[in-house]
Amino acid sequence: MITRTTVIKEILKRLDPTDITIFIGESLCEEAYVNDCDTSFYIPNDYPIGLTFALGLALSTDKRIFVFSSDSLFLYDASAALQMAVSECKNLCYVLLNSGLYLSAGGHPNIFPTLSHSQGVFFRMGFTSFVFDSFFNIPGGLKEIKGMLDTIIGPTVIFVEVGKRRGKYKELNKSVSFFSERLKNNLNTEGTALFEPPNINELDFVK
Amino acid sequence: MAKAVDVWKILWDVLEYKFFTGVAHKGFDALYGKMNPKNMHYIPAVNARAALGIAAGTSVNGVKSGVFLVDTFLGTFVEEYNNFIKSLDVSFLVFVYNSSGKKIKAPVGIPLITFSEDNYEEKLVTFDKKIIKHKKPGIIVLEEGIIE
Repeated sequence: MITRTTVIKEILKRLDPTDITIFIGESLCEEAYVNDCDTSFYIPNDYPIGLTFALGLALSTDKRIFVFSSDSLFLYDASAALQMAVSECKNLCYVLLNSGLYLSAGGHPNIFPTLSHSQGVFFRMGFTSFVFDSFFNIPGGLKEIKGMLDTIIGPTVIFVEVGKRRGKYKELNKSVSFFSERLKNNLNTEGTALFEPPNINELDFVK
Repeated sequence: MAKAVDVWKILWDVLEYKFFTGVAHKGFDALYGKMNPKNMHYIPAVNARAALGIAAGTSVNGVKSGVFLVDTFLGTFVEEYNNFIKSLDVSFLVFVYNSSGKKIKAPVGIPLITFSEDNYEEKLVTFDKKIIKHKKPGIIVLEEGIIE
């Protein structure tokens, strides 16, 4: 089974240089840090707030935001994914690296593989969804990824099944503050959100 | 009592806060009732953590943002602040409705003021300058009935 490091590397190679990537989770960050670039941001703990943080970024910029997390993090706070799904952010893409295991906590099984139709769960939430497994498993499949990534319109979720074995990794030798400053420098503050804000007058709680 | 329309005018026109999110509560009825989509965006959040995440994200990109939370979620805010938001060096406003009626103390390292009807424009402007200078979120406590 393909490792998360390889999946991250292959996807990063096919993103635009201006795309922002957010990685959530200690071991996931370490595996992504091997291929660090200026537009990457790391949240080296399994904080569900990371998903909605990525949503906030997507709301405030016209750059594409790719947020990577494990299936375990999704399970920890599925409502964060729901918030992303209804956001109408065309520039938001959630890359869900599913192993069916708590990779940061001893590799014990989680319930993700037992969901009756995990792709359908996300689709029903409001995401468009793609399964990239086959691109990594058939000869020449990786060539197709670039075209897929170029045409993605969010909010989108990309599923990639990854193995239990850990790939290359590198300990983060910089602080979140450092990555935060780097992120600020790489965001285009003149950009606008690519979403339609909800009409608050139609919401029940507004008199 | 302060009028919700006047408070919004200060937030939109003087302080230039254009983005808000939060978890609805009846304590915010007056402010929610005078929201105007021409002047602002509002995203209803699924929970307090989601609201704080969204506001942290928009603030990183320089969008002046506000969050509405009831005081029972203050613990969530402090936890998320200490775990993650603190390291971002961002400022945003957190409006906390005091539903318990008990005095709300400022959490360690987080500026806090209690909204009062006298001279509130000047106080809000000063508080905004303070949180921007220190790159920290700031809490504005709203007591029951203080805004109509």
